[in-house]
Amino acid sequence: MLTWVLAYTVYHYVEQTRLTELEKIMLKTSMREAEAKVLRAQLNPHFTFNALNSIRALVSEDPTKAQQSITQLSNLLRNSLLADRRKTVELREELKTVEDYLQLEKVRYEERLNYDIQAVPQTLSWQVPPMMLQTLVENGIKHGVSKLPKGGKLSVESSIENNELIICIKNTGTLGNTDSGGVGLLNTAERLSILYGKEASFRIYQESQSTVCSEIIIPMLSDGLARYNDQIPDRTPAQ
Amino acid sequence: MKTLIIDDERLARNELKRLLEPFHKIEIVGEAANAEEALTLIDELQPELLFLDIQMPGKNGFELLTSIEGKAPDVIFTTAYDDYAIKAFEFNALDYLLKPIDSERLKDAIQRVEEDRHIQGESNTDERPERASRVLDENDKVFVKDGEKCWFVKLGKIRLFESMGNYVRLHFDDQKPLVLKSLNSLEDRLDPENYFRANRKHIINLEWIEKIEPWFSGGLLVTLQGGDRIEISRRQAIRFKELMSL
Repeated sequence: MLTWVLAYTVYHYVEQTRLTELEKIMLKTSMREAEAKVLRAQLNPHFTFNALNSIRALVSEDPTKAQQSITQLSNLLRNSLLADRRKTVELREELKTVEDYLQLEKVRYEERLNYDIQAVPQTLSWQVPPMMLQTLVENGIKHGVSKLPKGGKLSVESSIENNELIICIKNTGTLGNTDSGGVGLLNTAERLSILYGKEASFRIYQESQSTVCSEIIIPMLSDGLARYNDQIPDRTPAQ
Repeated sequence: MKTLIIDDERLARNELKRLLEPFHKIEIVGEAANAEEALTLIDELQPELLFLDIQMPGKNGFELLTSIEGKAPDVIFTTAYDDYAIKAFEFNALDYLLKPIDSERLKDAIQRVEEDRHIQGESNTDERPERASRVLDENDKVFVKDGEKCWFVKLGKIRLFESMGNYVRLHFDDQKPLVLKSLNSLEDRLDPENYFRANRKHIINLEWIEKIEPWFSGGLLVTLQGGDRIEISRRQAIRFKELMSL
């Protein structure tokens, strides 16, 4: 009887310790989750109010375009809010968000913005962090087109190399007058590190005299991470 | 009131034009999409009021204003959302409107401009003769920016202009900001009835003279309200005496 009790006590104690370890890991993870949430891009208010102003102008000038723009803005806002709920989304969905955003910017900049999205078909189902490309594209516009009186170009390209997804966002402009150390970009690097560890990377460099390139490399989402994606409940941090 | 709209976005300019339609006193004489275009139009048309978007490619709104050679018109700034700009507006008590612009707020802003102009006796612009806008007098305002601070200062309040190499220090109230202009270029612009080049380094505002004393080598020493004492060189002293009929 005593042996049994002893065995049980020992077992219970070991089990407790193991659970505590697991709880610790879960706590750490949920803290990082909270951090990650805060780091996720919110829709830039400067963009939002300028877009609303343009749409208001379009109401009488081109009502159909106004309607389309309202739909696009609403998609953007929705995705921006939903970004908190999901760790990754398919590239195809993220590119749709980027397209909505660029269409709205085109309404503002008109002939001063030319854009182009080229995605290799196999890349479209790759899992990417939501709103990350959107932030980089926004950054490209902010430091490129919006600063140039004659405007410029922005392109997004995705491809696969060595079983990794490579995304390049190129914009007319120069790094010199870019605050390449901006908060949005630090967030990007952090988010990638939280989600993928060392295998993901992010860099910005001057590709040619007048083109800056922001490049993200994202590995395939591993099984472990995929399971992690499903199992960790989505808790909002306690207020 | 001759008005100019400055914004790099065509739709934003259209929106503002639409909102300004009911204001019959506002006469939109032109539009500009950037600082370069704006400066040309300001020089040509001499508008009395600007609606100025602060974020533009190339020179921003503040930079545009400091580049204006003549007197500064009244300005209502516009912005969609910009922490930095809004802080600057609040800090310097500058009038601004947030886009999309609310018509009530637009009405208030225009009213404020009209009141200010009325106080300065400029409301009947038709009566004012088309003067060579080259020369600035004491009622004209200039836009001055030094670091975080900026002002629209009436020239009459500036009692002393002091050369500091490539810059000129303006003395008014208890402020002494630097502007990137040469003393000579300022002298060309200032009404010689009110402003006098005392010596190589100083221009004084004659309205602010408190005391005049004889000084070495046939020169004069002038004391301004506020305490500054400025020497008038001998050569200038002769002209000064003629001017003041002493």
